[in-house]
Amino acid sequence: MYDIPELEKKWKRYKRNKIKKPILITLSTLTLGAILFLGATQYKRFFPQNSTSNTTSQQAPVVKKEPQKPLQRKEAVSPLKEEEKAIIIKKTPIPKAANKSDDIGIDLSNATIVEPDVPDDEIRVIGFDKNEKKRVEKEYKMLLNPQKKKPKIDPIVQEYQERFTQSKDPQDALYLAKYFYKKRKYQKAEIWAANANNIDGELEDSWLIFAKAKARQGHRVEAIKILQEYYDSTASPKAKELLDKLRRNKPF
Amino acid sequence: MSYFEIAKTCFVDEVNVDNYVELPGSQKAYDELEMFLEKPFKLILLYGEPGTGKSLLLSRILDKKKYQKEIHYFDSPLLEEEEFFRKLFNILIQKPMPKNTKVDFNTFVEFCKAIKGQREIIILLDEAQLYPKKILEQIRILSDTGVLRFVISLHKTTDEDVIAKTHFRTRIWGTIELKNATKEELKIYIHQKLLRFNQFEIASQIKPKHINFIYKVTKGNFRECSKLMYTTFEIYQYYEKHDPSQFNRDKFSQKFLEMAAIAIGAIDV
Repeated sequence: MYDIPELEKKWKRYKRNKIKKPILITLSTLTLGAILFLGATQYKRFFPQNSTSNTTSQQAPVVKKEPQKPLQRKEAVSPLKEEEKAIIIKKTPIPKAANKSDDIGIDLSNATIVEPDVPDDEIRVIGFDKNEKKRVEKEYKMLLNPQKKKPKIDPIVQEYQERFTQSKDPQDALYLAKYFYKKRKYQKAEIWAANANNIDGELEDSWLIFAKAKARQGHRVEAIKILQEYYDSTASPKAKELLDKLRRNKPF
Repeated sequence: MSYFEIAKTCFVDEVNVDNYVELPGSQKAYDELEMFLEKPFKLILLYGEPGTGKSLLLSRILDKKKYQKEIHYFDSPLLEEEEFFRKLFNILIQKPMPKNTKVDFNTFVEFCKAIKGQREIIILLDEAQLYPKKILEQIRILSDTGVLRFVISLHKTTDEDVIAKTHFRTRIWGTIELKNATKEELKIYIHQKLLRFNQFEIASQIKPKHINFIYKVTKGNFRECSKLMYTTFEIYQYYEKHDPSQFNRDKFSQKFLEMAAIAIGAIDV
């Protein structure tokens, strides 16, 4: 066994050194930046930029008068591109578009709301930029089709499930069966144990998990029957032990 | 047994076929070796850095083929010529060599020639870089009889070049290189080791940042990785006993992992 207090001291030193490096790099970068900046300003003070132009041109500056262009009136609203013209929220039974927009807190004061050339239950909103459009679309989607929260799946379980679909490795199925059994999800445990059994009928653990999961779901008689069949063909001591427990209604 | 004691057990460094973790890289090496054994290759060279799974691969092939082929595993090097011949005698004659008996090497060769076509014996030699050159030379001659076939496992060092070049250059037909694990393989390795002992909670707490760190300090070496994980759980055990407030049971401790890396010398402070 290691000297843990001493090890912790070393770890603290390691952490300090680890933090030191980026700090030193940042400080030196900042210092270098500051030096360069000061150097540049000093250089400008001593050698102003127009000093060269003074020496080269001795002539009096001539001011050219350019003909004044008539001021063009800028368009208040730039024309919309084809792709940006509309957000179509289909099949939305909203009586008034303006009211609906208030509901989700979108400022439509600058937007143009036009009467759509579609059935009454469709709305067209024109005048948002792309990001705004995405946000509006998302909020409408959320509002109209609130998504159910997906139950959290353990990433390892997910990984094993994905791997099993490709590899069909009975060991993967057995791990999943064990996992679900431990988490008291007996139905899933039974399915995964059955998967393992189907691929490799000689995996003892998968038979035991299968029988236990069955029993936990209230199918004790069926569990005994299955286990008895397995025991008859293998004479496994573990199967015998579990069989006895199931028959005597003892905890397993 | 405590929670962390079991986790620690998952990473005990032992050559145990039951604890074998199937990974793409090691499976490829196994398939290659299996294929080479099916072909009439006299010598097969298996090499790689220490801790890449050479011994486990040999044990696995022995376990799988022992009922199909006449196959023997020399797990530790036999440094004395007499000791080597005694073991070889036992294999060839299928009886222990009588005491105070010496067998001439040429007799072995003649015996092999006599049983050619009747028997085919595969010998798995682990740690072959430690064998004296004389024995290696005799192995080469014995392999030429076609009765004895050798799978020679050695560390990837300069010795490997020496053996490959001087003794077996013209004879090695199959070479298999075992490499360190990739980051993805290391992740599967750690998870599977833990899951084999039903350590689901700990396995799910090990996140990509931990795997990145483990990969960085171990360079994907299985033995180093096992050592690091073993030490990490040893540190867990210490704190569980002396100061449980030092860690959160719901999160895998990066601190303990770093401490373990310092302890095994993977990080220089």
